[in-house]
Amino acid sequence: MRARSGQAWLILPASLVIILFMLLPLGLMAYVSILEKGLNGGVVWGSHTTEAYLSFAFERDLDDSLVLNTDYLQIFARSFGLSAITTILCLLLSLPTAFYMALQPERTRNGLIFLVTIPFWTNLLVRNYAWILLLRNGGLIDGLLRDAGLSSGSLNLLYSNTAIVLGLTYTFLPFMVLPIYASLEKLDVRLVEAAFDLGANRWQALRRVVLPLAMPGIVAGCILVFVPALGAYVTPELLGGGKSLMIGNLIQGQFGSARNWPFGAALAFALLAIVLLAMLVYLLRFRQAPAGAAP
Amino acid sequence: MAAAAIDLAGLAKTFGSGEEAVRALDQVSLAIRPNEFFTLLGPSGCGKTTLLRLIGGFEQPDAGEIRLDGQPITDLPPHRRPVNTVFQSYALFPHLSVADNVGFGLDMLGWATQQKRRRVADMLTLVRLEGYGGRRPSQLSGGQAQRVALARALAASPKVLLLDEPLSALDLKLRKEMQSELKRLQTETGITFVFVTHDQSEALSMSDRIAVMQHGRVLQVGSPREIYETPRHRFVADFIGEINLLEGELVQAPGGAALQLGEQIRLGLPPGVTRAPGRVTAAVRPERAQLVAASHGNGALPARIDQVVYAGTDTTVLLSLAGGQPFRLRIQNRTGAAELPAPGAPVGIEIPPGSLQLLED
Repeated sequence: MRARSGQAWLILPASLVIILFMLLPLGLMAYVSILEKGLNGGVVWGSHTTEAYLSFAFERDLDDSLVLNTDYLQIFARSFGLSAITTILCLLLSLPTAFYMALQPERTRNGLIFLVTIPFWTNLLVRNYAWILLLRNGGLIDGLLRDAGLSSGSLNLLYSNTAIVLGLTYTFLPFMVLPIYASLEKLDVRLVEAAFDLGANRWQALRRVVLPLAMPGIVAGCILVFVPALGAYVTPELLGGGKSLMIGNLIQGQFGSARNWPFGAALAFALLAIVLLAMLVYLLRFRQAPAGAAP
Repeated sequence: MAAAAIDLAGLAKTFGSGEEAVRALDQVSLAIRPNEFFTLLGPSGCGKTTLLRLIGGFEQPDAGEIRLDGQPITDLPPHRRPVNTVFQSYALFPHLSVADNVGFGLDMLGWATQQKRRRVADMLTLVRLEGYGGRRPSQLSGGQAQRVALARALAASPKVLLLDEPLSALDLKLRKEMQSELKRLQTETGITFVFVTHDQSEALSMSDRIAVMQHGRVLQVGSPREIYETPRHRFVADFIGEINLLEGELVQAPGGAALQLGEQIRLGLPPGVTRAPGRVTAAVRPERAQLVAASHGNGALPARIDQVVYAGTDTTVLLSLAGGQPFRLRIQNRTGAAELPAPGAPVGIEIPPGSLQLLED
């Protein structure tokens, strides 16, 4: 109690930054989402409407009646689908990687962590352009497969959902590997030995002891991959080529070429709300397990 | 006699290689009897834990064989050995309730739920933790965690229970309590216990037999009484309890073998000494020697009192022998006992022939 009053000023700078540059703009966005759109972008201040939120699923017909339009909902669905696939792929790739890393001697482990973080050294745009070079027709993969006689004609890998998932998985893989590795590294080997001792084979020890204890890392990794993937902009823009939109591209479009700021703000808010809600549900469910009461 | 519960033959284990190689076990052979409370005793690094891990299957021996009830198990992985371990840190699964921890081994054996629940309840009763099944390991005290670890290891009725210094994390009072608890469990379950400790008093008070280990070798195996009263090695004598060492000449006298100290003193040795005459080391426990008057004669060692330490149940007298070597003597404090001479006074030390024990180096 005594410490709180004396040390509160320590978080003052960070609090100010968050209030000035996050909470205030968010409030502004919330307000913009219930305003009428201006003709050439911007908004009409003081004129309130729920039009932006209606646009999620409806559009105005010529006679001003509401007609169902699922285009935007499809983009939402695609974003969730691609992010989910990305998360699952990252998880499948990360589990064995993290296991391997955690089982190495300490010096090797540090080297491996270094290798995992190397992609961060290169700009995201550059890495995505590199994927374009790999995936495009006549590019490295397409060309090699054709030369090897494994494919005829063009594979059309680029500008597809596959390309987006590939790019997202590649981008977010370290965010999955590192938390899982951290939780595995902390794991007491003696618990695994105890499981073997009590008659568990390798698979049973993994399923009954190792995975439950690595769960905090797995959950953290999934959140760290799924949430940013959902709002991804650069990768779907470059590797989806504007054919395959995700929420991020849609929002950018509303503030840009579509000049519909209220709708863009409403989209951004819907995304934020869904993410927060999903995380809340997940965390509540996950928290309950270890603190569970008597059976 | 029935076959040994565990037969260890010529076990060897070396960790590391080249110059950093550490020989943890060096030709260890032991036969542990069924239903026995067997203790591996030794200082840290003597190989006792490595030996336990070999029996548990967590390490593979470089050479030698392990048999359980006559069946070789050397090549079996830990989960296929009918042997369970109580780990030093207990190693309870933090994500499972106490009941699920105790039932873990039964799950692995595929027990039915109903049967398992009854067995878990029985085990918790056995370790006096009725009603704790729903708790988490983090909600237990050290002593309770210890009991859960025991219940978990005993649940599947292993042929042998391995205990790796299970009491070392408990405070003294709890440790005393758990010592008798362990002994009770062993008697009640009739399971062979192999217990690892570096605490000699723990070993003496609980064990049926003790193997004293040093540098990866077993020096002596015997009942607590044999180990304490007739240690064969200097290390064993020194490690367990307190001991006085006397260097002298082994001679054959008319009355049997004797230890010649200097010109005049000749101490009788217990019958049955077969060693060739020569220089030897003999040992005597502090409480087996007696303080006598300086004028007692040839049977007694002349000495001088340095210090008298009163310790309630007994008094320790620190003395110097004629050659300057220290000698420690313990006297029970009895009602009406004579006053001890003051420090500096010359006295004699009498050592009854049966109390002197010849040591191998």
